[in-house]
Amino acid sequence: MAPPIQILLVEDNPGDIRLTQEALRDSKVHIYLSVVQDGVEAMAFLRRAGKYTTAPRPDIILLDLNLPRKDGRAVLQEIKADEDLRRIPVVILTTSDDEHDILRSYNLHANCYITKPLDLNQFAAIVKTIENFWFQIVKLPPA
Amino acid sequence: MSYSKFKETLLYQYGFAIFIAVAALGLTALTWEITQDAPFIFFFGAVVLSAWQGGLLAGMVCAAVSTLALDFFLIEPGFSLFTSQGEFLRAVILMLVAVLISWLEDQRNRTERSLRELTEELEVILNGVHEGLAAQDETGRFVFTNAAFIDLLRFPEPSALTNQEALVKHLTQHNQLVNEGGAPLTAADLPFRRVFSSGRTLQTTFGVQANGTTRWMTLQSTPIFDKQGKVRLAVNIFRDVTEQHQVVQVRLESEQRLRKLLDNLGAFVGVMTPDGILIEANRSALQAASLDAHDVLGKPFDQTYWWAYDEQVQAQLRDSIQRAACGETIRYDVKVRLAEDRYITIDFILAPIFDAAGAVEYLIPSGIDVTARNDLTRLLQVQQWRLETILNSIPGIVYEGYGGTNAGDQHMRFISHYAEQMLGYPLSAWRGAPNFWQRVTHPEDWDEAVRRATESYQNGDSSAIPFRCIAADGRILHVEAYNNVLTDLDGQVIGTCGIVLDVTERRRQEAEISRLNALISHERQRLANIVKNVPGVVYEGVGSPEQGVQRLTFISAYIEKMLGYTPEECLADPKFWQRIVLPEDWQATLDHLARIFEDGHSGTLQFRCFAKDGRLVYVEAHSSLLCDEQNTPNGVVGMMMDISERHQIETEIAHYAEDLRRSNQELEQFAYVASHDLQEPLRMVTSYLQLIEQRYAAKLDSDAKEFIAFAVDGATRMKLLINSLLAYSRIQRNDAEFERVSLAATLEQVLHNLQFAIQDTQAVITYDTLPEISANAMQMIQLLQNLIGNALKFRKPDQPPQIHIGAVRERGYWHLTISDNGIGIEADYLERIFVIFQRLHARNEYEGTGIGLAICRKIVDKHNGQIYAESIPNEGTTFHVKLPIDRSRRRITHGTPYSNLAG
Repeated sequence: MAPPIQILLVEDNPGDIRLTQEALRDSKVHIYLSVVQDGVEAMAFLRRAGKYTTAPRPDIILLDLNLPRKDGRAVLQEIKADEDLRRIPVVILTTSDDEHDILRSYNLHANCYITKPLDLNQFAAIVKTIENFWFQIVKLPPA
Repeated sequence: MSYSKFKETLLYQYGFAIFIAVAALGLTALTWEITQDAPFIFFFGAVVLSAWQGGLLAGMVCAAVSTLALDFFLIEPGFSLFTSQGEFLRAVILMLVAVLISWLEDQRNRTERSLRELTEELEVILNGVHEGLAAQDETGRFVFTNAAFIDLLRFPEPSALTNQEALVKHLTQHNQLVNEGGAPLTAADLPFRRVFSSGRTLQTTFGVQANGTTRWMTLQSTPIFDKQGKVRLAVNIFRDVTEQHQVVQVRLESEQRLRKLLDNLGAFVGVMTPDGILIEANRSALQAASLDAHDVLGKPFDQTYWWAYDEQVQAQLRDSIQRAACGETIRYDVKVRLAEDRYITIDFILAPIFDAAGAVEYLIPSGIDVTARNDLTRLLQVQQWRLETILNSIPGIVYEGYGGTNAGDQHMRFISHYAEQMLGYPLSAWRGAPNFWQRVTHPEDWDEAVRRATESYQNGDSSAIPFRCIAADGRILHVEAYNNVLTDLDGQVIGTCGIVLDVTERRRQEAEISRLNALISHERQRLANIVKNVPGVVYEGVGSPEQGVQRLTFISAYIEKMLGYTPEECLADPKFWQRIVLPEDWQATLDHLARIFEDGHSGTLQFRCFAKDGRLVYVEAHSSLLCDEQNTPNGVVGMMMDISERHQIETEIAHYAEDLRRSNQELEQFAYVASHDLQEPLRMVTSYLQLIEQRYAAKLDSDAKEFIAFAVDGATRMKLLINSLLAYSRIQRNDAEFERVSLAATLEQVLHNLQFAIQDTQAVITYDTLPEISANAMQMIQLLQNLIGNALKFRKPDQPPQIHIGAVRERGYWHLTISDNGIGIEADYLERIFVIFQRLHARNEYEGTGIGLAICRKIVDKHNGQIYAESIPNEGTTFHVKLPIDRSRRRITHGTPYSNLAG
């Protein structure tokens, strides 16, 4: 059996975490979803610092922008400034549809920007689309 | 008794003869033993000697004695005469010898005597000569000197004067020898022995100076040759020529004086032969032409340098010489050539000099430089010409009138050329008519002018007499005359002279100046009034920044009203500014002043001053650079205004602006927060309600599903509202986003966005040619989309919408209209529709948030435009949008922003 796809979800809202988990539950691929709830934790996870020494290297990062402590934008900037980490695709998944946020994210080399829809079904569809696109169509860089 | 005299005596003659004969006898006796023939020889010698010494008689005696002695003592003692023939013969021979010798001796003596006599005579003669004679041989020894020589040379010891050396020594020991010129002479310069070498007669004249007197002598040394042609003797002849020399000297001096006189005479003088050969010319004549005597002397006078510049002059001269040679004295002025081709005119005189016989011996040409005389004449002419030129160049009529002081009777002797130019009458008219002044003078002014002129003659003043003249072309000229009386040498009045000036222009200028002065004083008054009434302080200060503080030179009275100081008080204080300016602002004012001086421009500065009562007053001073006549900045002039009130308002405005900025920032922050933090819970509500519905569908009854649907719908609308509010709040005026926007392209985009609604409603949309404006492109899309969207939305249910988008250019703005044939709006609501969240219809009738038109108004506002609606209910609505062509223009004022066409 192929190793599971490692997803890191950076999200502070437990409701969204649960919704994401729900949406990924019926996935055809084997997914391992790690969740951290703020930017500092996210960087620690990625750098395997502190309690995350054994953390897996994620194949893709789902990043919310508005996060406690270290904000999602800062996290994005740090990832994309890191020689090693910047190859990991970062999908911005946020409530904001503010033009500035979109522009800024892409300027920081976000791989794609998705606004969370209000409708549950739409949200599910988006998650399915992400899964489909990133895990089945796209060739990810070797770990 | 001399030996020679003694020889003459008989005693000597006979005694000698007997003695000799005896001596011969003795000798014979002595030599007898040796030779028998000897006695004859001895006696023969005795006879010879006797005859030689004593003459014939003594010879005869000696011969007789010898015969006897011979006969007696030698041949046969005893006295038998002529005992033999031989004896007789001997006696005869002795006799003959005696005769012969005595004759010979006598002859010799006779010759000697005559020679001696001759010599003696010669000596007597030579001694009688006044010239000193000294004959010398080659060794220098004097073989003959005469008495005059000794006498002449004043030799103290005549016997010692035996040779040339002694003479020279004598001459040079106590005296000084000089030559004719007075220069010292040495013995070597005298001829003496040189005669021997040269073989020629040498002559010299020399002076012997002693004790201040000079004796002049000539010395002539003549060689005397022997038969071989060799110089045997030199005969020196000394001659005292002191007297002659003095005479010559006097004549010489006189001649020199005369020559000097001639030479130093300014005039040119010469001497020539009657046939015109120049033989003498004085130094003036030579020097003036840089000539040497040999250049001209001995040459025909007319060929000399002085004349050889013009053949005509030479011909005239030749003619004159011929006439002068006939005894005529010629005189004429002629030019002569001098050095460097200069010429002068001389008064030339050629005078003949006659000899005793009355024939012309010489011609004396002389000349005196008369250039100066001619120059004077010419100078006078030139002066007069110059004077007339000057007078003619004076821009006024200068006149000289004769015939009394009454101008009317005068005739003009001189009238300057300007008269013609000034009044237009020809000069001949002035000179011709005796009373021309009267003709040109304005008739009204004549009497007065004459009266004043007469008065001025009497008073002796020459003040200006103003009157008017009528020019030839009829112009009237204002003139001023300055007159003076002309008198002859006796003081008799013969006329008047003066100058008449055209003062028309000056009069005009004076009038102009007085007009300008009036204007200036009027303007000054006005300016003073302005300065006085202007609500600000006008000031002027001098001193550059380097000189330190500005010193006030003027300050308007308003200072008292503004700050409480009187102008006098301000002007009196040299450090006024420093006194009143708030110390914190003082440096700024100095810097400002320095900047004005540096740039040369004006500048405005705000600073604070203390009023006299201690109030702090905000002022604004506008200063300009002040320059002196040399255009050097030396101060400032300006105006200072109290801006305390303005400053307060500005401060308040700044506060408001700051508040507004903060408020806007907060609003933006709020909007952003709203967009996220409000939507999160909404999403949670919606999502989880939907999750419940999906996951627990089997367990929910229809009511539950309906309730969930309502809850989801509410949350969905809530999100719509929030998004609308966000859109509204994000409409900001940001100039950076303004660009050239083609409204045609905008409309195309909008129609594309709305294509489904248009299709659904079967709407007919028409539009004019839309302009390009400067705007925010996104907002323009939003504006048109909202308005057209509204038109589609509020259509009549029974007919498809017809929408027209119009565009008309009006003054300063584009007037866009969006007209529909929709349901229309009640007049009461035409304003309310633009207020946020104001809805006119139930949600189930026409959906919407009630924020679309609010957004439209806000967009138009941000573009400095105007939006309003006109509507007739049930017929349609027209929205008017006015956007300025130049977006920087002020907001379009709301006149009557809307009107209800329905009345």
